[in-house]
Amino acid sequence: MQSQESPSELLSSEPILRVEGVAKSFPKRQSGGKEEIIKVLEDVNFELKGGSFTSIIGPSGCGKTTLLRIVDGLLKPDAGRVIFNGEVVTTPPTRMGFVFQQFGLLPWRSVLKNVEFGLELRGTDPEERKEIAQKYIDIVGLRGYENNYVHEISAGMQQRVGLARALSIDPDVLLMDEPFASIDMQTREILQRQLLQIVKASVPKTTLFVTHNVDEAVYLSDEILLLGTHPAKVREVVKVELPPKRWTYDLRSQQEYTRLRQKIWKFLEKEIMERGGFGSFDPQEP
Amino acid sequence: MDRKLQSNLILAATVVLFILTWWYAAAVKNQTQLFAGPIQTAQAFAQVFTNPTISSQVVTALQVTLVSVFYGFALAIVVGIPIGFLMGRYVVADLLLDPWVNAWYSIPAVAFVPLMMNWTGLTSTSTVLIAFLISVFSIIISVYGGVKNTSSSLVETARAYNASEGQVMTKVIFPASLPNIMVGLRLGLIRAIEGVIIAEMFFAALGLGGMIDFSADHLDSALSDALIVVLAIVSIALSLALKLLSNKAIAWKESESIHRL
Amino acid sequence: MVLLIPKSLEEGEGLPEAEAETATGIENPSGISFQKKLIAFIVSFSVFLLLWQLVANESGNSLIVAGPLPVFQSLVNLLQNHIPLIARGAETADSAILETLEVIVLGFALSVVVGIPIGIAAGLYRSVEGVVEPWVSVVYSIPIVALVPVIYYGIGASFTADVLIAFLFSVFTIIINTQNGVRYMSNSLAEVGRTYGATSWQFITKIVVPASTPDMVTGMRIAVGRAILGAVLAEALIGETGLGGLMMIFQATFSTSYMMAAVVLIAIMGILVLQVPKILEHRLFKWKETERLARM
Repeated sequence: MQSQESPSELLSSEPILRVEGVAKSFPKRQSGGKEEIIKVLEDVNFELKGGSFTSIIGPSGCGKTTLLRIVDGLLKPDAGRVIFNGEVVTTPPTRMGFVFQQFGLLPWRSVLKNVEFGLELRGTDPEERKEIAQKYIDIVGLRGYENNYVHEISAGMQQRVGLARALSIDPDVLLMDEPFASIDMQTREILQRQLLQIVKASVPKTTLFVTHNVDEAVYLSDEILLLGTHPAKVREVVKVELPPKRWTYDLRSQQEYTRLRQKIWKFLEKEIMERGGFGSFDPQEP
Repeated sequence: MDRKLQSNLILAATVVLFILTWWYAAAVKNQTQLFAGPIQTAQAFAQVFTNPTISSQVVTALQVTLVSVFYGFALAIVVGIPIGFLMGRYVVADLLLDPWVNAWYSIPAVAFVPLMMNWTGLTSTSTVLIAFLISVFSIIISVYGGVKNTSSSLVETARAYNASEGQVMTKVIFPASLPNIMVGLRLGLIRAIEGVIIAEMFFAALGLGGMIDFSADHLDSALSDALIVVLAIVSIALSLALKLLSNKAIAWKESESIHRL
Repeated sequence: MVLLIPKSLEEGEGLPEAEAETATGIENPSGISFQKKLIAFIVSFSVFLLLWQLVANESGNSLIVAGPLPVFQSLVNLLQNHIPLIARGAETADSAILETLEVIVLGFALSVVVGIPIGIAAGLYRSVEGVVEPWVSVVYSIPIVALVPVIYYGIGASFTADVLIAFLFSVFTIIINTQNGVRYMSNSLAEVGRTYGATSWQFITKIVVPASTPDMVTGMRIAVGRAILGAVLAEALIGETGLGGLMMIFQATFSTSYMMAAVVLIAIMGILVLQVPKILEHRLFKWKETERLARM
């Protein structure tokens, strides 16, 4: 496949997805019974280039997940719009795949039937969808588990089923909402490497990945959007310029990796301390 | 807000539709003694409050019924909660009692009626026992479920702080299973009322159930319908009171539900 | 009132009942072996028979309490269609059993056909819920048995009246359990349906229905129990037909051992209908795993 090309060569100049001035507020019930309107997102702008891997990182509770749901058309923005393949997103587009934090697998279906789900809804012929599902099950390395129920396999394997299901509908953009947040550290590192191999080599995809984990963001991304809080806004776009095929070498020993990691963590720490209600811990300050 | 108004309007429409259907059915049947319409029922309902003879009969009947419900339900609580706890906490009690609780719970309550008629006669004692038998198993099963499903991590936490078995019971398992206990009590109350009314209907001489049956048999269906309304109001008031109590008791519990359309 | 009452069903009488129900069980996965259970059952059953015999001896009057042996003998007679002379005119047992079963099956089937769609709609759509819930919560709090005289004098003592009563006894349990199953379905499953562009029909058939099937099935199982109660009650209270009628005729004619045999028959029917499907439920819905407390 295209694995011999470097990821930067894969990037096309045309954005496949553009987010323009998106804003969103939610009513929140106060303890006194009064409703207060909380601005979660305000004037969010960014775009995804074809073939890129972009992460959104921000303090927890900053509205990353809300943003991703707006991109997928699961939520309507109060202002602004999302343009995907030249069209404004209003409902979940057929050519977007979504991987959920809680996996969102249907517990009454086998692994194979879960992967087939998206195709089934689209009315793909049963023989064909089985073939396609099998292909992606093989890609995520779950051959042999096709007939297992969801509760019979580990969390890491469950999320691989979620990934295979999202890939099987051949999406142009893959949206991932903290997909590895509820998976243990060791498994998570293996899954990160596998994900990179898949979306950069086996089945190249444009990916938008939400996380609150700095290492994960630097390891996976070509670009990282730093989201501030209250309301969330893209404060900075960090480009990650590390050699391609990152799964083939020890990225974490690179100087650039350490630099980026520190830079992003500084940003997050500042956001959390300033706006997260921690006040100031600095004894020098009055 | 708009949607709420809309659904309240539809609700009101269904109520009107119900009354119209009832009125039409009664008009077609045209035998007020057997099947009274809404107007006659409303008149009879007014009589319950204005006619001193009927009024005092209803008050007496209601007293008999409520006293039976109270004793039956109280007995079911006193017996049901400890048994539920034992079964939920101790395997031996579970082994010995579970099949019985499930079996007795599965028996249609009306099967107890002829037995009680034979053993304790057409008395309030029979009514109380029938109410007890119907309500106690709902309580046992709910309490048992709550105790058995208390998260083991909560129990471990208490153990880590050297809690005694008694402390584990009172400080962890009891509060943790309180939501289930309350549900059991609410179900148990509904069952107890049902049991009392079933018994009274069969005995046809006691309480509100007896009076409903008696007036229907004596071709005063308007009064019998009005008494059903009285019974409905009393039952709903009792359930509501227990619901409010249970909300107070388990205010810490949050509920989650899906986004709906 | 209208605004207050739905609250009384917010957690649903049905759902927790369902939870409580599934939490107990013949096949409970708490690691107790079948052998142990069998031994425990034999022990407690013997104790039960012994107590029964003692009570019978104590009363000394077989017209009030018949011991286990005479009741067993009467049960055998009953099943061979022997009816005591004094209760002549009563139906034979097989036709009584058949009639009761017909009432139960029809009443129950009717409440499934009516209750499931209403429950699904009320669980999915707030507007439907706003209409259905006040009705359900009001009727659920009232003893349905109070309506028996109305139905009896309204449409007469008939097979239809019995079926209607069995229906009224069971339909609300089905509505409440279905509604709760749908309403408390995991939100993430609903989102999966939307991201993959499910149509409303696909959403209902491929996600809502399978996700809430365990609750629906539990509801249906409890509802059969209610249908049996309604059927036997109607028969005993109005037409004196079927098993319920037989039971009352034996009671009135002091055929105590036969009356108790009829009670045993009704009890067995209830136990079979409520407990056997419970075992199947555990097998069918293995994907719904639960965590349990280790006990002493």
